[in-house]
Amino acid sequence: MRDAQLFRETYEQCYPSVLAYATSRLGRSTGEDITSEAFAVAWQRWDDPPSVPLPWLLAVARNLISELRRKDAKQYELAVAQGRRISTEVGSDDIAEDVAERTTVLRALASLPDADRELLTLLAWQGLSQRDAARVLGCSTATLAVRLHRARRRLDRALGGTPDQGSSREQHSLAAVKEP
Amino acid sequence: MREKDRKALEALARARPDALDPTRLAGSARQQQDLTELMSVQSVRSTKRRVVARRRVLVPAVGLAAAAAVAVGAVAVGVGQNRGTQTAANPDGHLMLLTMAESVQNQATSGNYWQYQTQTQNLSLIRPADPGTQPYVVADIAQNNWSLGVKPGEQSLMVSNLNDKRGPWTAEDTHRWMMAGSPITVLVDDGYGKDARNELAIKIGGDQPVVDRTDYGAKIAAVGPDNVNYDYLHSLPTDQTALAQTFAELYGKSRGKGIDDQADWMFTQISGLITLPVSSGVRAAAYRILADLPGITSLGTVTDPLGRTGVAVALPPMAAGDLGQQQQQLVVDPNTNTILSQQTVLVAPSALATQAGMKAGTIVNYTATTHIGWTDQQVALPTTP
Repeated sequence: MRDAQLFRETYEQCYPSVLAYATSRLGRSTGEDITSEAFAVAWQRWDDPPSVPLPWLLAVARNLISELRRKDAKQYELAVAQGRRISTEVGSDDIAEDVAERTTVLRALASLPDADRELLTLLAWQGLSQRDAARVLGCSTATLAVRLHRARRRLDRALGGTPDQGSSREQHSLAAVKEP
Repeated sequence: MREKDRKALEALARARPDALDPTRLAGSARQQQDLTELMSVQSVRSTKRRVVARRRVLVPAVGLAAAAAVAVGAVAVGVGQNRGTQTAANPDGHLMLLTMAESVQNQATSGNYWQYQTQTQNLSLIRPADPGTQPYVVADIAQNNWSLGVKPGEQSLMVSNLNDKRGPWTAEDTHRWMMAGSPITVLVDDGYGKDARNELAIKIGGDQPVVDRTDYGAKIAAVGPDNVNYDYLHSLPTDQTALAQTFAELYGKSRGKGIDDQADWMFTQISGLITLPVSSGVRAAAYRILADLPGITSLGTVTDPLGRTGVAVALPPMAAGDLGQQQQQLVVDPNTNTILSQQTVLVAPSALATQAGMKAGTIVNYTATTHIGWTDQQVALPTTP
């Protein structure tokens, strides 16, 4: 039996985070559609609600995004461009404070591979623990820790920091790791 | 987490564009709208299908009032058209309803659960993408059991999609569906525009039964835009004028969220009220309000969609969607003082509806009540396959 009240509470609580994630990947408009679909899926499966709903919902949204890529590559590409733009630009309406620093960080973020950006923002912007982020990305916590370390080093480099030793080998190995 | 990783994440967190700040993304109109649509759809298996029972106005609280507002909006007739204020109540319908109002006052009320069972059917017109293919009609028929727990701690349950069958309506529709390639998923245009948001994908075949818990705290039913508890239902005025006043206020409150026409709104709301656990006095007052609605007419003795004989009253026909003029009808049984069927009937089919094989008199959708009353036994749950 589905607990409608619990669903409403979860919806209220998680909708903004799921939308933020989907928007960062695909822009606001497609992001809203994905969010809508993700909760529709959640409601369908609400017979057995997850104890920690947010990572689960994000994983559902992520799968729907992959599905979109398969189904409609063109729309996906357009949406991804929007998502990239919205998640790497300080908006004109944003509070002026720290704009310079934020712009620098976001510019560095923009230069990273999509997979790095997704991982970093799941942690930094959605506030997920590494364990929950691993759930969303469908990998082990150990793998996630390694990927985080590498992504962070690439971010450092993009920010003009000193590259760590062995970075070229690491880049090589990363190129071989295909995103799921 | 390594220190450097942590610091990088902190810097990133500070740099988050405001457009991605969840607190700024919360509470949008879209967020509310999605939830309302989601919760008003009862099917577990395919949330995108149009659900017949949405046409029923008083959705026992699948939660918030917003759900009820959309349920109202989903009624097939009467959206956005003014009818003026005819007052010519046909004497037959008027008398019949008043007679029912008299005899309904003596009915007993007790029990832990107020339950009613319905059978619903909904016809959807399918326009195949290929212009050379004929439009056809898909019928969706299912049974639903509603059980409102009126005592504290009792659950309210809605068992829907029982014996759900969905497929081409007639032999001719089957033929056309096959000519269209026997698609398993078809897109239904709800007739209110070409906006893709109005298109719903439905699956030929049928869904599994679904059980939903419909109490929301102590609130067990929706009346107008509000979710209400049993005490509210029990304390509704039994005086016709006072009850009409209550509903006039509810209408004012729900304006812009559903049916605009007041008589239309009243008709659906009051018809729904009769199926709720209200006192016999309220039910009597409800029948009197129906009898006095502007423009209401009696259709005399009719046979309802399940073949039962009853007496029907109707609102004036109105243009609705692409199907043509439709009419809201209520069939009641004057012997038992109960509702038999609430239905929308095509009065003047459009060219498109005619092409799809619909005629004047075609029942576009109905909710037929097969049982209603008090019991101490919670509704039986379907066994999961």
